[in-house]
Amino acid sequence: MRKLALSDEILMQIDKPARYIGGEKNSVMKDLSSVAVRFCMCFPDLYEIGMSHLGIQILYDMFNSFEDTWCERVYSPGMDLDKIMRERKIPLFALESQDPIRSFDFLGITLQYEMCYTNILQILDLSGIPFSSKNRTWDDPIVIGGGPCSYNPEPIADFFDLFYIGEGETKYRELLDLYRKDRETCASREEFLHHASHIDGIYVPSLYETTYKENGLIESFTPIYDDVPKTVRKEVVKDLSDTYYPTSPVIPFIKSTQDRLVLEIMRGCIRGCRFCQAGQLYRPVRERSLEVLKQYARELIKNTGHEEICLSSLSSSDYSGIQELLYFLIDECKAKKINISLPSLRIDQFSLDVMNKVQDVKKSSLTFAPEAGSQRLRNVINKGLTEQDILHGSHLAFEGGWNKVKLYFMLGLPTETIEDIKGIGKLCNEIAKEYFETVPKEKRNGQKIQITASTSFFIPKPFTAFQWAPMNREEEFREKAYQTRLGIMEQLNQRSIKYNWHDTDVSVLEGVFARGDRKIAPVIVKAYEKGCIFDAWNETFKYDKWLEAFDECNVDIDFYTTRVREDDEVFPWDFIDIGVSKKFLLREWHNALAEKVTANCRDKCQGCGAASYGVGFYCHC
Amino acid sequence: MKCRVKFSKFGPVKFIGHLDCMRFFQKAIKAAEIPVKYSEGFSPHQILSFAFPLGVGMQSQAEYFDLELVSLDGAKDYNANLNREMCEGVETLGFYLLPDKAPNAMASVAAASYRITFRNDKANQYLKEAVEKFISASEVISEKETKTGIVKRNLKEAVYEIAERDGALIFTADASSAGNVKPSALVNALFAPYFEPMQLWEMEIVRLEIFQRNADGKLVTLIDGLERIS
Repeated sequence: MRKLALSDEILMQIDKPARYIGGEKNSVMKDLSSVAVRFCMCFPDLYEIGMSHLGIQILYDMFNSFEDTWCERVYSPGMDLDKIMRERKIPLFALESQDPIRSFDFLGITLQYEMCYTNILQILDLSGIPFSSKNRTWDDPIVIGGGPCSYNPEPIADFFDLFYIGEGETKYRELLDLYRKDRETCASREEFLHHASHIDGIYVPSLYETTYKENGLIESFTPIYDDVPKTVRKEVVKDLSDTYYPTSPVIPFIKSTQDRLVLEIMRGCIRGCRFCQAGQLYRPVRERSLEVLKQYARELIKNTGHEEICLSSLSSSDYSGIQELLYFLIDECKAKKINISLPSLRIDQFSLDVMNKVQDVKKSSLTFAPEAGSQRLRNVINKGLTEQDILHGSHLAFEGGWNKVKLYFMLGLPTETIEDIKGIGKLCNEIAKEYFETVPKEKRNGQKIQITASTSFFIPKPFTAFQWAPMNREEEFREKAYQTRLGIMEQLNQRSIKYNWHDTDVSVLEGVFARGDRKIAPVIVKAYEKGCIFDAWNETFKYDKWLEAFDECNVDIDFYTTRVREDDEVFPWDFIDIGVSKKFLLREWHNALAEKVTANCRDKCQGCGAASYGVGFYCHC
Repeated sequence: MKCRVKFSKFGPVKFIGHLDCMRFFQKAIKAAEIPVKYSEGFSPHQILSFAFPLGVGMQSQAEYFDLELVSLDGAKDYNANLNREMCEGVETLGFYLLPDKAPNAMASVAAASYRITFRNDKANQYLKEAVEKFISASEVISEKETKTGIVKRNLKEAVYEIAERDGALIFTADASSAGNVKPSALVNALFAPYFEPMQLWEMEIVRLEIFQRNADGKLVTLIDGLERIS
């Protein structure tokens, strides 16, 4: 039996001790004497959040398929345990072996959202690893980052020895081989990092220097050695049907936020919405073959005993085999008493039929994401969904017995006017009207139409057409949320409409981190020292402390958020090549301002640049 | 048809609570392809009921749950199949056929026995003496706070057997839904003359067996007289 790192005394007084004991079904134990590389994979948030993430499961499965490597996991200790570990100087440990993180060869941290940045420092701090790459020695693991936020790694560059840019399945073997060779030949840590910079997709922040102009903009970003590449190109998996997939994922004892099987059907998105970062980062579109997916589904069901399965992709309706796949799953799952959790499908006859087959009589709600209230603004953001689509979809659904509609919008999109904001209320009202016209009173069975409109605040992200766009100020956001509410209250059917909006504070910080540069790192350290941690959680988020930290570090928030960027500005993330060219994004930015819609990948190639990978499902030009 | 499954739970999994343990078994039963019966209705669930929830921090060598099956095809492999789906520290110890008219596991529970060792010097020092004192006392009153106020109870009537053995406390006590004696409550009553109540983590508690009463009123295990089918 494994010995735990924490005593019974501690485990009996903290919340959810099962977070820290490992030993879950399908977790991997290896014999240390047969292992050459120890890798610890980290999701810097609570266990039940991190365990829901497919990316780590894929890499965990891949690493452990390497005979010489043992991959383990670590998550952020909750606030209760965090306090105890600091008081008693207990080093952070990995779940499987319960050994200290500091004794590992690699610590891989996945960066899924900006608001986890102080938790990276928590992980390093509790592990006893220096925050800054330059202060580490071979006594410390190589700290490597990956995931969506690593596409602008600059605000946190100082905390990492390496970043892996792109999909992890391709280059880790090469990196581990290099590591083994360099350790055997007693290379220095610096030498190893230097060698690693020659591997495609690997970015070594310490080997680059940034100079700034007087106005704070980047003047140059250059490697300090001639043989270090000037740009780092994103890695992509060439064939999704022939790669690693975790068909025996670790099954948590406690309920994770996604307590279900995940079937990843495709990567990339044909849609090209101009605010969406994922839509650009994961280009080109690649599909996993139907036969492989059917096989995976069968194995997953067999290996886990999960009671629910869901599909994962950016836009499942666009998967070319979606009908056959869903009908297959319906058959397969019905017999085995497994729920299908439907992805957000475009609402049409097919999806309603599928929903009818998999959902019970208590019909769940329909979801639309128009993102903007007016057709004009939807053209600006290149969201193909029209009012007619929404009303027609709703009509079909109301006929089928649904009476709940959820709508998602963003406030603060570029060029937004009061008319666009008022459009949100009007659109909701039209849907309610559609309901009353579609369903005669005697057929409503005393039910009412329920429309829920939610708004989030738009945050410009790197590698989107809107990377040039100024973000709104907090006051503007609040005013716009207020106007949205007023706009809804003016409607005839306002009693059928519920309105939710998100808080503004977190959005401001997310805006800074998203397009930040290396000057942000000291602010993150300062905020952490002031007690900021778990910033993604309302109950622990301390906005005042963050403002103090910015102030004390002399960093101007507006420079990163609300400033107007020129077309030729050098961005901190320009050295990363995701395949999609800056030229294309700029063209899209101008198209946005001209309210011009761009066709999706399936209808017409726009020459974004991702075709250069030679593997895009729709890249035939 | 119904069957009763026996399992043990040792090691780090003692920190898995009852509900999570149940979810663990639901998944394992599904993965093992045991032909379990599902409830009717819109969200069907396995017809599965545990005899006696085991508290967080406790280990056990004899836990039970009842399972309704749709068939007994290949029944002799059920135990091995289910065991393949277990994790470190959990082991299934057999499937037993349950007569249709048998009361469910939870309603049958009458008593349970435990073995407790202590991470507390005073407890180890006074254990022998405290047990002797308990045995010779005419009554030992334990107080329990409930919604309606403090309820007093004579533990002598609820503890059927008690002894010190090799530095451990071993006892059998009432575990019926109306009169369950919590191991920690007994321990604290036992040591009340000597020192302040202990924390839960200072006791290493292992449940040894769960009992029902047979027709003669005698305590027998929950699988007493049942046919083992796997």
